[in-house]
Amino acid sequence: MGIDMSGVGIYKNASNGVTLHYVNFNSVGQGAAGSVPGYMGWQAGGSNFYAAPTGWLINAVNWQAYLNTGNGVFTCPVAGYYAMGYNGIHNGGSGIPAGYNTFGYAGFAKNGALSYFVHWNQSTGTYWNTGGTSILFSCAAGDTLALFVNRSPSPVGPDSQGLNYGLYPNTHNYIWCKLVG
Amino acid sequence: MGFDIAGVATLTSPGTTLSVDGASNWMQVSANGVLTRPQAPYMRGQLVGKGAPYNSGTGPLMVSADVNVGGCWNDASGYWTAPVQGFYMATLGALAGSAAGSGYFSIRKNGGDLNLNHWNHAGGWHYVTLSTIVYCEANDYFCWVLQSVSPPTNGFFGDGGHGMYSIALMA
Repeated sequence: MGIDMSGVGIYKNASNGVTLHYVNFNSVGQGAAGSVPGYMGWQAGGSNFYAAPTGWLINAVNWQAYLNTGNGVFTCPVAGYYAMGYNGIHNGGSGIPAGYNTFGYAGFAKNGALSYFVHWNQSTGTYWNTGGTSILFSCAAGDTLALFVNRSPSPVGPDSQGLNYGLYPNTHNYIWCKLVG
Repeated sequence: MGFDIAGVATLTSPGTTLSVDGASNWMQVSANGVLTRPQAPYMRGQLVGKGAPYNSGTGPLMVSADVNVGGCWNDASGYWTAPVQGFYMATLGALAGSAAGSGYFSIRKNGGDLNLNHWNHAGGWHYVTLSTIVYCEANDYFCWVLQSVSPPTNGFFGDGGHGMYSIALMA
């Protein structure tokens, strides 16, 4: 039993809860909208840390909508607040030659502009920095969001771009984004 | 005063409250348009009395919930069970250590690993984090796990505080 209001329905669903257009609740009021602006993905494959000054590629996803898996850029479908985050391991590692600097930066850019970034810095060695960050962006429809690693104008380490030091691929990195309000 | 819609919801004013039984708010839009879902399932907790370091072996990290709205978290099993289809945000902040060594930590959903992350350090305590959004069908289940901890006497700090764990259904 339910009611249709100019095409927007409200009715009792199979869980003895309520569906209000795209919002679904179960019988004790636990529910959420069914729309999916966002993604959770990672870069699969690869075995070397690398910088991504033109955007971190996300070529595998657990779920996604509005993500370009060819370049890792997400386009906001509607105006709102978007939560975004990443986790991963940064170099060192055994591939860093003695005497080279391992520090670097990563950050999220809106419409290509890098506003905030995080930093890692450690001596050469066989150890890694476990890192990541999260943030909320206010966006208009059509704005783009992406993760960048060692991209100017963040202070770039002397060897981070030249020797391609950065974040580790091979399913040791996860990036996510979702409309939250 | 509320307005009953065909027996499946009650709309109230000012603002709008959606509920079937008329008692518990399911979804509320305040008079100035702020949306809340008071029944949204949520937990936050910590590792308590597990030792430091604590290695959970092949099983879930046995996080003790301090808040467990909706009862979706099970302290005895270390699992979260999704009550409805949706997107669940999960976060972890922990100290990994304490001897020189390495290990992996991840989300394990329905037996498969997601969001694998790693530490590898020279000793002491290494602060690690994990955040993600996990898509679930109703009755999917997931937990936090450690893997390949070396030496196996390493793990997360498990004697209270020094870390935080949370899960919530997103709107």
